[in-house]
Amino acid sequence: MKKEQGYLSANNIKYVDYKDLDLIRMFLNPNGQISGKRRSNLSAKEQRMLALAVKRARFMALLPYIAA
Amino acid sequence: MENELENFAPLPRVYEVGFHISPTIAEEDLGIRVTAVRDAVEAAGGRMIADEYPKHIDLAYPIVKVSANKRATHHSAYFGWMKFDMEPKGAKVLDATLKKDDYILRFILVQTVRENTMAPKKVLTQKRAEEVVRTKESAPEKPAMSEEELDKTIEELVIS
Repeated sequence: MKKEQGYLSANNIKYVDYKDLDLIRMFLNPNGQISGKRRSNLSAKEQRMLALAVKRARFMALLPYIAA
Repeated sequence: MENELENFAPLPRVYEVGFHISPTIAEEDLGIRVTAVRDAVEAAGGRMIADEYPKHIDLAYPIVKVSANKRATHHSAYFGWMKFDMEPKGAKVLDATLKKDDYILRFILVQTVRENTMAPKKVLTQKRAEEVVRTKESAPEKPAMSEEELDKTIEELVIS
């Protein structure tokens, strides 16, 4: 079965910026955890890019490490 | 061969610095702090590409900053960023300079690309608009029952 295309490649988004909270929040669950590759439908490269952006945003207190 | 290595100068890379300025600063004095950061970037050999003036934001969790031997917890800050190209040596200098700045709560220095990395807002809003339309379309399908049918089903439910 062919894998569904992810949101990033479908919209031609090449980079995930740590400041782009609207985009990042699409891939977080209500607890602020990063959704897995199966759920996000992202490629391995995109998923790594997303994880890096989320971690940077958390460090800068733009996103919580744990959302209550 | 050794000479070549000694003379090797790495190409300038594009960096971005994001920073939180202490919320204790008055909004009028914010410009001074921003110029201080800009001066630090330019002193380290940076050439500006883009920037955003700091905005007051609520932090996702409190940040503790020790300045003048006192711990202060901050729940909000002025967040701004600057994008510039610089040689890797300069980045190290800039990192050291910003660490010494008492008015900067926290900063992040990352390597990035010259192009705008923010996803266009249109894409996000379009998607949301589509979702709204979809939900609106699907919603009126359900109450296609006439009042009589509704009464019947209610009665059935009550009886059972």
